[in-house]
Amino acid sequence: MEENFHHPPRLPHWILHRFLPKSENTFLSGDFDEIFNSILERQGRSAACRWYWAQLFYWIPLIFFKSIRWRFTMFKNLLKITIRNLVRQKGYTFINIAGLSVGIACALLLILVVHYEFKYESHHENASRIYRINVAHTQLDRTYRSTYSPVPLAPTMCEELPEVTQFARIAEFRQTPVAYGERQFYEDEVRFVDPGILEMFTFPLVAGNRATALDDTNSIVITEDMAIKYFGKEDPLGKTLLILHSMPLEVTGVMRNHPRYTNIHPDFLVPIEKIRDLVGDEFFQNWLSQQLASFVMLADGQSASEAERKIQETFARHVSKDDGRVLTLDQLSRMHLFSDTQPAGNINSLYILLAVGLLILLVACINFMNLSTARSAHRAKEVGLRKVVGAARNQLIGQFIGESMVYTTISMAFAFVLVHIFIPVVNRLTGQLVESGDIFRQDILTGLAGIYLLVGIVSGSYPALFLSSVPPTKILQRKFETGNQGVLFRKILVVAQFAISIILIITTLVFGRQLNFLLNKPLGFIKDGIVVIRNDRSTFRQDLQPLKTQLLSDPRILGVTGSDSLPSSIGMYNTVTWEGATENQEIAINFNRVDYDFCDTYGIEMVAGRKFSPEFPADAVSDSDQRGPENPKSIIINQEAVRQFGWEDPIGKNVIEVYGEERNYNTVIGVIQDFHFNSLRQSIRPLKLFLSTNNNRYVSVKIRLEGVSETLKFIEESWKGVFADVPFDYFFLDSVLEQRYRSEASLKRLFAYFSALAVFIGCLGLLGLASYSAERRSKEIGIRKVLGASSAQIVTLLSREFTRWVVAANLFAWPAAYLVMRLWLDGYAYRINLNSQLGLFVLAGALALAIALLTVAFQAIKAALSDPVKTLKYE
Amino acid sequence: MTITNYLTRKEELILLSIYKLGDSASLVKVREILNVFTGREWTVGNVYVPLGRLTKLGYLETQVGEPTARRGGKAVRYYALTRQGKRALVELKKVHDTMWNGISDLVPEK
Repeated sequence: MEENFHHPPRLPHWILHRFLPKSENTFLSGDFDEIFNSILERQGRSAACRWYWAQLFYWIPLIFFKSIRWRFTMFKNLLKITIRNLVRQKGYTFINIAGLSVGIACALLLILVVHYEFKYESHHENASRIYRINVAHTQLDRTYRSTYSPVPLAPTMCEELPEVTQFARIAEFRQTPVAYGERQFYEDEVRFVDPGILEMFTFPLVAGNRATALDDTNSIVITEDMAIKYFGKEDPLGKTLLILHSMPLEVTGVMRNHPRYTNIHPDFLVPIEKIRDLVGDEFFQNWLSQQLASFVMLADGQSASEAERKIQETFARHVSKDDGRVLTLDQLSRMHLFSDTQPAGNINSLYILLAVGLLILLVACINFMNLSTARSAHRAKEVGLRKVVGAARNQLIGQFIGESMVYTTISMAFAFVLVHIFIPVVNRLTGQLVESGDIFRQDILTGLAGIYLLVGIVSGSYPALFLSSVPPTKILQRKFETGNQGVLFRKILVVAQFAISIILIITTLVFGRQLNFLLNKPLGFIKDGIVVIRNDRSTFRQDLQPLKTQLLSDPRILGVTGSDSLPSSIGMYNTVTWEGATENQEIAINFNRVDYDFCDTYGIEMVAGRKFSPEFPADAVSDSDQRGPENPKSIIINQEAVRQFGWEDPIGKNVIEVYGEERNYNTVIGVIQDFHFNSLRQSIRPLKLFLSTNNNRYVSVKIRLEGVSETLKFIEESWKGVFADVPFDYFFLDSVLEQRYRSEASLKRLFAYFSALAVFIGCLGLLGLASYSAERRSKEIGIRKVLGASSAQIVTLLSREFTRWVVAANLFAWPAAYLVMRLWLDGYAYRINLNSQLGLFVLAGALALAIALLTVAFQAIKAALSDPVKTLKYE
Repeated sequence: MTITNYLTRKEELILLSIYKLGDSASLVKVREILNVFTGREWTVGNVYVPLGRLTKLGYLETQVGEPTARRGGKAVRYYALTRQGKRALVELKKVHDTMWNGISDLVPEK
């Protein structure tokens, strides 16, 4: 009789079906279904369902016994087999684990380095709600971006927009004299701020009340370090610090020292109201210029783009219509790497480092894959037997992936130790302060788990899929030949490994060349032997003449000059038009205010006209006056400016500064050769110099390179003699210029180390393969020797194959490296010519080949020298 | 005599019901008949586990039947007594009868 079948509830049905003992599965679940149906017919569906569910619980003990227990037994067996293999083949185990540990350690270190940069500002509780308002102003061809904004901006936004809940402004005061009695220092980290900053940002106080510390306008909050610097062991609270020679402030709070991973690290916080005493009320109402950094805190859940739009609208209401300034918001937590205005970190180099980490990990995984497939024959019988007794394919896959997991676990443990040991080394290379405890931060641990699974599964996958696919009949009939399986795949992997290594070597070499180029390229001015003395903001208008006279009396001093900017970084510019320009044709031109002897001191050569000279009194007129065509200001311009103006004979021609409707006339009296007044990432732009003897923010002293320390002492004494109350704060120009390429230098050093490690790991794998192939061919070698082959021939025979792989790797590595390097070098206006550096590519290839050959030859020679009697004895 | 030591009363009942059912002795049928005769609900496991044990001891042999719609398209397994199984039952009966011999005052209550 045909009856309708009623399906039992899905969930318990599935569970029963899934967990019942395999051999009984069909019968039992059929029995269940049958009983279910008969109950259903007699007592209805709900009773039947109840019964069915109940069965699940009756059966749990049996399910547990049958399935879990056997699984556990199986697991124990697999683990035992794995460990036996691991112990029996110590050499391969060593190679695998060494390679994997080093690979994982590299990846982990690089992740820590990258993570450190992402950690910036994360200690501020509200970091995701705090935004800095940046100003972008496009003028002609240049967009001027500033992290500063007008003073009244932030309070106005806070008052008028409900989206903005709080604000804090930070006005920077660098080179500020701070004194406590006899103890007087110049401090770079004095900040005038809104009192709310202590609560808005997270600056925990170790002493004082955070809510009220800055309420009194005569208060000051300092860091722990500063408390020790000025007060030693005394209690800082209630003490009075004298700021800017004239401002006595009472210490009302001590901040905990800032972590290293922040760009906002004020040492002294002073209420912003105190600026009124310095510069008057006008400062607080000036919408026109960018004076300080403004931070706003948005309401919880407020979208930034929406707020940005409203802030721009509100801003437009307060300034004139044709104001071209655009305001953008920079989230505090993303500012360090992703700011559109001035990112302090370099996100691209971080991506590069992450990529390197992954590549090294890949190289290590490839080792594991290669060795385990090459040695698959040893495992083949086991696999065959397991299959015959009934192992399903996915059980075998599970077995091999599990094995690689065991390797990964062991390697992970070693990697932790390696990371712990090498963190200080990496910190020295990068200048960071990563701590090994950072590994246990949650986000790193997540990444770690990712690496763990990735390495385990990737390196286990190929052996697993490959070994489990071989039919058992073949294995047991001995048709499965030793090690020949997957030869092509193995070749591809080795080639890939070496291609990666070669690319890394090339990158290191090219980085090195470019860095040398940047450091050694003649800049067009003298940078060696220049001592630069920074002038105080309160004293830079002083007359330099007395100092000059005294210094130049000594033969060790070759020149003294003052300038507004250093020749290595001239950032100020204005908009000009020029004689012969078409209407409305304007360009931006950088400018620097310099002393008479600026060009002489810095060795900047004149190509036409004359220098500034006291013989021409017209040169030396204050630059603040308005200049009509009848009394123009004298300027010297560079060749680039001449080129852009399109002048045949520049001397005597006029350059006209444009300030809205105003015009200021300059006359060219001389032309200097182009020099690099900015980083070599940028090309040389038009420049003009004009004379100013009282804008000496920097005093440059050119000295002989012998006996520098005595000369310095002499300069210091002379300086103190002339400017008694200005501290002698100096630096060497060349060392500052080197700092400019610091990120390139640390990237290069990291690359050097990590590409060496990649090569090392690759060679470990090659060593394993070579020794395996020598072992496998020992009989062949024996026969060849008996028939008269020389040792040299045998070494060649064994090395030839590997050599071929490495050579093939070059073919892939060169074009890839070329493209990547082209892309990277494009970021520099001045760069080495990659096409003339092709020698480096060959060098990298040769290096890789030599190392690989050494590795292989070691094994080959061992095999070639072996006694044929021993290898052939058992045939 | 040895066989009886190994078989429980439960197993004896199962063997008996299999014998009674003849060709149609599947787990479901065995359980039904046990439910009817003993007047209590037997769980599947209560039948399944002894069936497995009896098969393993050689008292039962199994045969796979056709799948039916009522079973969700799954095959049924039929059980039958082996010679050894039958002998065991006979022996149990003998012991049973011997033990009861001479007892006449123990009768079901009315």
